[in-house]
Amino acid sequence: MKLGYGPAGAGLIAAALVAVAPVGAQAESSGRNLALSCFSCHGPAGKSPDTIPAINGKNKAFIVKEMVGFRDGKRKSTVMQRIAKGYSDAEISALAGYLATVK
Amino acid sequence: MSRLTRREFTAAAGASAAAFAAPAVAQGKGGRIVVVGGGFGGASAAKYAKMFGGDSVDVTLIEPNKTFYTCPFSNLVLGGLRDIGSIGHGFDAMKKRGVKVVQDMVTGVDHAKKTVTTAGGASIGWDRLILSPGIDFQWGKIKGYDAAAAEKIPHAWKAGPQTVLLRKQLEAMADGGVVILAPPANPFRCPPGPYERASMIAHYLKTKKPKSKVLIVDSKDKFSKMPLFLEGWKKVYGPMIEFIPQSKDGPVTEVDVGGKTVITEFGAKHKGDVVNLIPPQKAGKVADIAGVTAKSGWAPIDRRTFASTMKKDVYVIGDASIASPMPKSGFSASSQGKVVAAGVVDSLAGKAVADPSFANTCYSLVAPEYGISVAKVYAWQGGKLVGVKGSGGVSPKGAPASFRAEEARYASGWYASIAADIWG
Ligand SMILES: Cc1cc2nc3c(=O)[nH]c(=O)nc-3n(C[C@H](O)[C@H](O)[C@H](O)COP(=O)(O)OP(=O)(O)OC[C@H]3O[C@@H](n4cnc5c(N)ncnc54)[C@H](O)[C@@H]3O)c2cc1C
Repeated sequence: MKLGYGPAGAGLIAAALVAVAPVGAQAESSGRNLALSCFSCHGPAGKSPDTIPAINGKNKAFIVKEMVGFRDGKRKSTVMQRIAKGYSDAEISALAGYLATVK
Repeated sequence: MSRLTRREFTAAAGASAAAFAAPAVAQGKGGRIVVVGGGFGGASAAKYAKMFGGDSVDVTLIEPNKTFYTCPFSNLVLGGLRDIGSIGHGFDAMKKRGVKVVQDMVTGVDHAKKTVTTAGGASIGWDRLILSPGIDFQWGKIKGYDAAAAEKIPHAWKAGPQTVLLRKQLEAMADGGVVILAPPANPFRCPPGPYERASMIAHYLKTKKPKSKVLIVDSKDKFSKMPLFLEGWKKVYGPMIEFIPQSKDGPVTEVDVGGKTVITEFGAKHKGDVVNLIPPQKAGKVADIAGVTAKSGWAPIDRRTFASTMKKDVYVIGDASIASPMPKSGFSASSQGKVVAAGVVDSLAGKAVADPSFANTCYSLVAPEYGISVAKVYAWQGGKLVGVKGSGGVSPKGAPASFRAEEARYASGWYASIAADIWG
């Protein structure tokens, strides 16, 4: 999936709601949409309350390295290697960028 | 709530609510978001809409229960690993965030006026309506099974009193008894749920009533994570769990409530000491009321935005929606709730709605120290919502005990995390 592409595939109702936004804003909200999935296991804003490792307060480069490691099988895991395979380099970069800033 | 009611009544009495709402939207400032249902999808949507929209949005969450009991981990209550209180979540944190929480049941939706009305008599206006009502049952599909019958033969497919009822029946059963579990055909809420339930009931029986057994009379032949469940059952419970596929006896078509017997299409009768019947399902009734359900009983949506394809400015998320290839899970519902909240807030502010990205991981416990999982990442590709090729899949077969134990630990970690992410 290419980041920052427009609403070309949107359905009728969606298309009616969509206004034109700069590509930068699109990429930013894409990073957000990608990263929201993380919190369901790693806790709100990545602050895990229990047994799953917390991912808050990490810098972007670290998150990218970990995700790529999981995806390419260099880093052993139970489920993260299966999850990480769902994201392209561009997507990992975008979600890591968002995660690094979220509080 | 009364303040809200008065304000909305005034609005409705004056110009139409839609006209009343129009200026806020036109100015790109935000607007009123009403979320129906405080479960996995709805509470996620309400919390994140307020977080993303801040003061520009007015977010109201309508849910009839003061405490929401999660289906996830309700099987652990049945197995005796947890008590019911530990799976209940309130809405105090939601209120602190500035979400208006209305403890009431939506009974009407007016699309012209853009209001919902409630059993308690309130009328609440919206610019965007997000429905996450979960499921209701198709009573009557199984002959002899209705809401009254469910007080004797629980479904326990909505957590809370039904979970407690089934647990009490299991506790009251004598050693040597048979527990019948009758799962429905697809599609239904939580595809691996019945089989985790069989596992947790077997765990309870193995530790307390070892001469008993669990008989699964299924209305399908195959189920989620089947090879992993079968492997685990053999290892942990031996012959204690027996599975009868529909190709052998046919789907369950009837129940004899007094005789605690399920009857299949081919006429087989299975009598249990405890019977747990999970009936066929459809979208929660309020989706019908809102006019957003198709003949199938579920709500068709534009899978990019989760906007209803039947009504404007209405969104349907969670179990009620037709979101395939995503499964009907709490994880899916919450994932959808967060992304849809972002999209709704952006659209109200006049911004473009970004492409969605979702994920799902469903853990199941085969035994307290034996967890398995299925996962997938979902993306908008080529104008379709797809499961990303190569992503996800199930836990490996034949994995060592340490791997299963780690997944069991992560299952409880997942529960704590998602509960904090939604209701915390
Ligand atoms: C035994 C079992 C185990 C499960 N385990 C897991 C698991 O481990 N992981 C997982 O991800 N999923 C699991 N699930 C699935 C999960 O419970 C559902 O997919 C999830 O609850 C769906 O979220 P939802 O928001 O669509 O509906 P719900 O969470 O059911 O929320 C719907 C809410 O809407 C409210 N409502 C309904 N009608 C109205 C109305 N008219 N007005 C106001 N409010 C209304 C209801 O009171 C309810 O609180 C399990 C399910 C079961 C049955």
